[in-house]
Amino acid sequence: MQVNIVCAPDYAMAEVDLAQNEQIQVEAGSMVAMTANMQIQTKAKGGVLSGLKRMVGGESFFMNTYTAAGAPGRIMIAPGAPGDMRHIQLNGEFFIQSGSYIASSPSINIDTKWGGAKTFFGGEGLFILKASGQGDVLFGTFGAVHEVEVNGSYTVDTGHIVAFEPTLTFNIRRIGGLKSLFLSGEGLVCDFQGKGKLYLQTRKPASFVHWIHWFRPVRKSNN
Amino acid sequence: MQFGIKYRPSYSLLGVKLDPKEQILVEAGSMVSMAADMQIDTKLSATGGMFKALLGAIGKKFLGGETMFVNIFTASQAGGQIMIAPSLNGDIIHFPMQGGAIIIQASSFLASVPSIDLKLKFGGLKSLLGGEGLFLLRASGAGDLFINAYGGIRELDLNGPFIVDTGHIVAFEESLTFNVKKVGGWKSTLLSGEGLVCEFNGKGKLWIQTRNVGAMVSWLRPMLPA
Amino acid sequence: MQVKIAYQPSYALALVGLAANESVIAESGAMVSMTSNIAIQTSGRAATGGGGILKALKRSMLGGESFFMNSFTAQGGPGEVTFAPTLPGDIISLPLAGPSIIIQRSSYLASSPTVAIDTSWQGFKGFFGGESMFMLKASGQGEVLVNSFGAIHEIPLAGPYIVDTGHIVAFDETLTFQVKKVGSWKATFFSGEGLVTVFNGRGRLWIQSRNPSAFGHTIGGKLPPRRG
Repeated sequence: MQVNIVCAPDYAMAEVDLAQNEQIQVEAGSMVAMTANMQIQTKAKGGVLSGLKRMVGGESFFMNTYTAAGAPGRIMIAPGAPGDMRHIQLNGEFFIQSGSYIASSPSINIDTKWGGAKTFFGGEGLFILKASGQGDVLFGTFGAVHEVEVNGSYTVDTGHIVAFEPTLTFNIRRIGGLKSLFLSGEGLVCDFQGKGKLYLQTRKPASFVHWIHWFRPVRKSNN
Repeated sequence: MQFGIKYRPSYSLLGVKLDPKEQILVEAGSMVSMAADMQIDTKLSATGGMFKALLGAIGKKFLGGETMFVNIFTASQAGGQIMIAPSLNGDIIHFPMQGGAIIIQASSFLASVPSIDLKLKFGGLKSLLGGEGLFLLRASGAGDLFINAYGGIRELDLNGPFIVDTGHIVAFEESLTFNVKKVGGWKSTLLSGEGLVCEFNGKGKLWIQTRNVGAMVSWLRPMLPA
Repeated sequence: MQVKIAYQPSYALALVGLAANESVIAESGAMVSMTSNIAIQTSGRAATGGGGILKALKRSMLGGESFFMNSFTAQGGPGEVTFAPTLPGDIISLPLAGPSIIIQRSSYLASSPTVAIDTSWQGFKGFFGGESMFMLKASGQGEVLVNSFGAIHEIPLAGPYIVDTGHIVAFDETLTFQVKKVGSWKATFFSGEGLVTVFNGRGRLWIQSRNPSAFGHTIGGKLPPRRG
């Protein structure tokens, strides 16, 4: 496939050209536009439908498989959050925060049940997917992509983590007694160790959710 | 009238300098700042009875509860400046209309001069999935028209069938035909996560936006506390 | 401190380099990442450089944000902390050297410890309702980092000018202002209030090209209802 990311870095959208019969797996809800010969199939990746949950709220993780039927095709993909996208050609392993994953070639295996997949403290935490194999991976960010070459140690607020190379180890902890002083009661940070590339996003979904919560209509008490 | 669009493509801010007594129609809520002696009116009937059409059978509510009220700003004898921005982030583009017509997704209308005629059109398959109809405006005449997008704007030259998620449509030329439908026939549309799509056909230009309020809401929803 | 601002204007990130034992103050929740030798504290003294401001830091429930400040200090060597606000938009650094600057509360991001942040400034008192209209006064010497929703547009004022209140980021204390409701119009603005501010005098005014309240209402109205 050929991937061209447009309208970056602010409202990035990926224009993906597929050869005849070529396929791409895309997170449900991300299709912007496509040529009329694209066929869509909805299924859970690798049959692990029941185990696939997002970080919060337990929304299931549906994937659509698009096939360019009978001719080459084009599909334009964008995530719901405002921000950037990145395309990488993977040959090995790569860790992606589940909310940042957007699409990949069918040859890439997305594992949601590997050892370090879930680190939660009382309901808050991170859900990290392991992508492995050879092929294309697309991920998106809320905000801009900030790449950090870690060499030693580095500490990150967990809400800003997007993806990282497997040469880094990580440990999630609370920032002590300051828990109550952080927005939305988070205060979770992740200490990375080792040498490798870390992708961060410059905005945090949990803060934004907390901010917009107050603009929601109020449920009437007699419901 | 003179205008300039700053901070493109993401936080586009439209600055308009009006001549003495010149007028501009602006979607309500979009005024950022203005000269202290600018006059503002929310007159609901203007040339061609366009506002009667807007407030007609469909009612005042558009997608998701947005109302489409328009304010008319009139500059004083000294002329005046006004800065305009929509509530969502993204680009603004200027259409210098020259007598033809263009179809705009209603929530993308930002501002126009009074000589542009605006008529409401409805694009079928109303609110099957929670309010996602396709409310369109037909803008015609000659003069300046400004539309905004949520996200970036991509201009596509269509020639043959093409499918677009309805939430991403900004505007298109009248030469295109369109048909609103659910995506595919497989499984339920809810399962696929895709809502309504619009199948375009024919030859003409289509402008799409790279973000969509419905998708942003879907992204937020699982993270919301009770 | 050395401040670098990246990813302007849309998802700006402030990278603050600190010398050994140097501190920076920031709104709680703003920290994105930091080198491992940064110590975080919330003491009143650290929050202002003057002392006693913790008493004045009332929990502000407007917009659901509580306004607390943390201080970040590099220990045993130089360090770096990066900060970002909640909403997409820009960050700029405003140097203070004499006249104070009034900052819309949700636009405050971080500052040098030598800058006094007064949260009890009452100039806009009484004009709120769905819009975060609390203002802070920043005075002293040093740097203040402010963020915007949308792009930041600086206007050097020399005469009367009207601004939709939700678009105000900051202004020099030398300006006079008057908040008015745009009452006679049938359709109020999306801010829900139709509040505008008439500025006058000479000084600088910074506005943001998007109105957070209008954006919040646009999206919030489409979300499922919440418990009251």
